Amino acid sequence: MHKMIIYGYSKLAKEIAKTLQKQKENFIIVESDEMSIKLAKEDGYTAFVSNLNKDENLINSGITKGVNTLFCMSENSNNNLFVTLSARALDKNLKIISLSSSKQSDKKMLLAGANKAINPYEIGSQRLFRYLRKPIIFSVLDKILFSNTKIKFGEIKLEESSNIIGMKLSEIEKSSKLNIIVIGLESENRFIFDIHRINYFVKKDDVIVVMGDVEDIEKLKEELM
Amino acid sequence: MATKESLVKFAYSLSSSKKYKSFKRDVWEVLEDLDSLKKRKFDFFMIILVLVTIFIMIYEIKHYVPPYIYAIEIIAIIVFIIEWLGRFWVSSDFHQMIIQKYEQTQLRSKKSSTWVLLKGALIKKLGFVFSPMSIIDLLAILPFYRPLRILRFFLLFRLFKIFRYTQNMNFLFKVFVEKKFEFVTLIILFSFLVFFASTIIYVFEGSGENDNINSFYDAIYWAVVTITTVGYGDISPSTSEGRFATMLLIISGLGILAFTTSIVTTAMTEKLEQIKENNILTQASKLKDFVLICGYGKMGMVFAEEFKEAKENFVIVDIDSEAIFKANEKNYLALRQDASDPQALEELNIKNNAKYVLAMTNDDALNLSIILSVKSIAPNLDIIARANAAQSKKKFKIAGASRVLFPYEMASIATIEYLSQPSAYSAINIILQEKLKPIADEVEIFLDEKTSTQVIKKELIDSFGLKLLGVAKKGDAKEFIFNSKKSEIVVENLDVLILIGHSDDIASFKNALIKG
Repeated sequence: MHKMIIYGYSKLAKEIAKTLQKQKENFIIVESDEMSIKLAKEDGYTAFVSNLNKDENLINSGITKGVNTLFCMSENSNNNLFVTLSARALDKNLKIISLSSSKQSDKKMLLAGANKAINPYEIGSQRLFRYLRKPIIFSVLDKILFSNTKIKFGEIKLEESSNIIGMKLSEIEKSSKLNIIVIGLESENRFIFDIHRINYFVKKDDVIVVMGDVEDIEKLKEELM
Repeated sequence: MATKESLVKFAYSLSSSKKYKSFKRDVWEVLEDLDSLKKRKFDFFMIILVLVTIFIMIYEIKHYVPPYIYAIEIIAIIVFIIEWLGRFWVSSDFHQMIIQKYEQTQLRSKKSSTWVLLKGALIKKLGFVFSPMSIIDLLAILPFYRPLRILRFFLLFRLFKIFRYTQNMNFLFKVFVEKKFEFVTLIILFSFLVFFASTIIYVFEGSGENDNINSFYDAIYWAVVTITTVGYGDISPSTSEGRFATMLLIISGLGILAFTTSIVTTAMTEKLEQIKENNILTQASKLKDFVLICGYGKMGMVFAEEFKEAKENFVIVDIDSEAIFKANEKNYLALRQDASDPQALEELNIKNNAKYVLAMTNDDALNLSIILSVKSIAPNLDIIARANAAQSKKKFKIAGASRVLFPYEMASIATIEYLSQPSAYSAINIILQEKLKPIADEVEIFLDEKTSTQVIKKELIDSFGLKLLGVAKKGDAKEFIFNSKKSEIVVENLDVLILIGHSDDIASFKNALIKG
């Protein structure tokens, strides 16, 4: 059974489908335009003609029945907004990512219940800008994130039972013998960096972000449990 | 023969004298160099001087003026004369022309007289003397000779002299030159109507019917006053034939007036646009190390914002006037020009002044054309192009773009990144954004030739409140070395440390590294 739905077959949807295909994710494409669906099928994806304007259609396509991620990528931003809102009403825990074309529509999408609004023009230009300003850092981080290097970023969510709860954030890196770097942690939607010997005591539900070998990150997860 | 030889000798000695050349250049800069600040100051001073002398002349018509005031006038005239002589001097290189002529004649082993040598140079100088601006200058000096009352008329030329010092006025003056055809048509039409109407009125009322029309000159005066809708009323028609002619004249006068106004206003607005654009162009061409953004659309806007934030110089070029309007609203330097036109790019002097070019329009064909235009002018300049279709990526590379940006691909990567590791995603976004603290920064290691390696203690990095992510060997992102457990790292020349921390801490760490 599929876990992800891409609504709409826009340029960005095509790219996302490509990436998901590479990661061997199970997803379907839903779009109201028959021509687009034909193209999607030609590209080798599972695709259905349907407009998700009605709740039945959303449920039929798998929302509330095991789908955890919905990409609202239609060319029509009003449709995206509508589908985002109706899907959020059906499922509180669904991850919804919506296409947006400006800062104003970013806000609208988030209000409608999207977890993240993606504006390809803004992301594209920002990434390029960063590359122009600091090429080495950008390439290093890019490599770590997207290619099959041994070094990766990892996230560890702290359970109540974890043995480091109450420990200082700046102590975590030293307390482990593994070759990892603690970047910081996210607590209540705020990111705290592990610099300046920060005086922060780790709480339950904080997400620690680390950098290191994939194996080391796995070992660290076990250590912290 | 002796005069000729000494003349040539003198010319050579001038052309080899550095002092003479640099002095002449300085004078030229003050008098004629449009880009020079000195000229602007000088012009301002001259305008004040001209206004003062004009004021004195107007004042003395009805009032007694104490003699010392005339001293100011004399000083002003001396300044005017010196200024004119200066312009005369820098207008062309007399000695160069002589040398050129001399060498030419030597080459063809012809005999040359002093006259032949001087001829070309003299003609050039005379050309300057009789140029309109020089004539205005000379006429402006004339009213100084008081006994001739008629010369006071030339006082007006001092006002014209002011035009000389204001660039923008000169531009407006050109309006008349550019709309020559329209103005000539207008003048012909006008004179025809005036001639026609004055003939009618003179025929019907000139032989005693009207006391005020005694000559054809009166008839013309009446026609001009009427056709321009001024209508003083000192001469008015008394016969019914004359009144009929007046009615026709008034109606056609309205037409001519409307015609004139429309020509002048359209020409002026066009010219004003040009002046504005010219100002922007001169501003832009003075910028060093700017980024050229071609296309002010969805992506161009984001770039402009980022560059503004980072305090980098940038210039926007777009063919669409609406886009330029939007950019102007944000006070960006924006030019309405076709970015794929090599000439427009050349005017901006991108070869020497641009850091890189961003081709960011939503039209792939246009972007390709921009890449090729830039390459044709500045083959070594970096161009980054936006591809709107996946197939264009390869074509842009072939055309010579150093990097191709395909926004949908980047956005899809970012989406997946966000999905799989939301916390890491936000952490990376924070450290890459320069607005927020902390940031990630690169610290390049520079060592002198004797020392091949340097040891940096982890404690030192810690003491600045920084976190070391790793080292990019020789600045190569592929050779990224990463080890958190060593207490010290060994770096070579040109290695790059990648650090996270507050920007001021990173700056003081850099300082500490340099001092050792």
